[in-house]
Amino acid sequence: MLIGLAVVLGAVALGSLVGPVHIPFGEAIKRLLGSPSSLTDRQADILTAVRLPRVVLGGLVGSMLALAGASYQGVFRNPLADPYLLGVAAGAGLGATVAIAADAPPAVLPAAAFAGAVLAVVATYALGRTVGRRTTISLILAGVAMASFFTAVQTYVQQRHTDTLREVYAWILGRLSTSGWREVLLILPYLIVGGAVILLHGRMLDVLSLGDEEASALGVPVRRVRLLVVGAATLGTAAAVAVSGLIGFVGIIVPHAIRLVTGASYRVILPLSAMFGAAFLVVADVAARTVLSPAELPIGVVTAFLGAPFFVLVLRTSKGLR
Amino acid sequence: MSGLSVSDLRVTFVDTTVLKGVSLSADRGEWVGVIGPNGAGKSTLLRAIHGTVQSSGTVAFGEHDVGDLPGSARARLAALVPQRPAAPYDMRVFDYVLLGRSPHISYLGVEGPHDLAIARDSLESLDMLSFADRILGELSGGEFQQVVLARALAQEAALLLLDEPTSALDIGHQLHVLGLIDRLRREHDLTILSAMHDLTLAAQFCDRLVLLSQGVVVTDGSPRHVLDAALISQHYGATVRIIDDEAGVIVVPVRQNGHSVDR
Repeated sequence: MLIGLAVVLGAVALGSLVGPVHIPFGEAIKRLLGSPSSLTDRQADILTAVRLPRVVLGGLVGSMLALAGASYQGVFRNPLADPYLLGVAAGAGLGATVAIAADAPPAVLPAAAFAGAVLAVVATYALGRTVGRRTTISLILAGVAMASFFTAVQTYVQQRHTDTLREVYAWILGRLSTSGWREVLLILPYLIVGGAVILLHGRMLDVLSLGDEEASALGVPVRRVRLLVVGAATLGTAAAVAVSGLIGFVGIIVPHAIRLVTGASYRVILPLSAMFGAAFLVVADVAARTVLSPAELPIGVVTAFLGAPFFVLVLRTSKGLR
Repeated sequence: MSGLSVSDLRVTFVDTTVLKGVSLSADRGEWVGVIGPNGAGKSTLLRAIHGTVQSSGTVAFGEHDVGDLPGSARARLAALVPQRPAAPYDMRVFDYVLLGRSPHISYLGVEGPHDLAIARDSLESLDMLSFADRILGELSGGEFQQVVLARALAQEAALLLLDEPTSALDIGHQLHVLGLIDRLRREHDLTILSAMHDLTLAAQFCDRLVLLSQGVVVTDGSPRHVLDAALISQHYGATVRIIDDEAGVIVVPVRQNGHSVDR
């Protein structure tokens, strides 16, 4: 846990200090603690109104995606589950595309993406209830069906408005651009509630890893656990996606890397996923905005580019997984 | 104190009736074996008694009507060990046994020192304490079966429902694990209902046998009474020779169709 915290703080420091305008570390700390520092006003403004909001947003989004990925993997006992499993990505994509195509004001975009994401998952759940015996498999298949459906509609809308193709594409690849603290404040309530509900269910996810039948034989209300955890993960992910676009890979790679190192208990995996997810995305964002500076790489490209080799490294060096 | 009493239990899956009014009982501290051919409804019977499968009829244990109880209260009365329990590969043995404490912990609660102590004691009663830090994926079949029993023991339920507890083990480990179960029931005054494939082992370890076939109880009584060559031939479609000597009742399968042993 302490290592996790240190890594997060290190990532935040790195993210705040690296950029086109140099900001000395010691002076930045002084400034943030309210004591006099030698930072110019311009440096201070860049620190508090540009760098910090972006770092905090990256941390929050990364932490939520990793947490949601870990909880989906737990609830569905499926190592390939990621936060977008039940149609969040396709729904958010449709919402965002419609908003962009309709030339809506920028403030509407996150709301539209959020609404699309939640709508898609609710539709998945409703469909999943009507087929089969409400197993996790029927829910996952419903998610696949819903994702294809929403993607089809999204592609159609996009084809009808080819002038917005570039903007839609950029959104889908994910980006962490902020305008001050607005985005952070916008998603914070969802992330706090979603994150708290998930973290409180660590023990329940451990019981669920025995399968639905054995878990209910141990007196666990399996359906309620699943609904609460999926609901929390979906709300949190929808909020994160609404401001960051579709950042892939974090939700699947971070929890797996943690699990390979620490073992199977979700009570350890969940908090550590939140921490390392935050650190990972902040560092990925640093890379995204420095490599081609002043241009920016889409952060989704960086997470996959950095994440894949890192994951292979963890796989090779750990004893687990067969 | 009275033990388990099941009456007129019926289970229907979609359009097939698996249990057609099963009644049986087990005294406190008694070990009753449920035998019968594949598909007779043995597993379904255990799951219906435990409440993980919808059923009609009544199940009473002690002074409780099990059907009226919520899940966690039921799990404090009866522990169900499925035929093939899930074994998450990288889960620690101790954490696995600790999951048996779930029915005693509130929804968002965590284990207290008392739960940790019980998990430890359970492992110890099965001589598995030295395995506490191993992971499930590294255990042999026999070791895992003992860990599963430790988890059931940690549940502190007075009724154990075991679905073919030794079907995956070799003959030595079968005797060892069944011996452990017998010791546990004496030490903890447990009532045991177990589905059994091996009729000889069933005869040697169970106080009483219930022969289930096509969802109904055919006969119920001492192993000597139930293990009748004609009955077994009728319900299993197998020719057997029953040997009854000082070792108990032994059921030997005999190959048919003209191949003699000393060919």
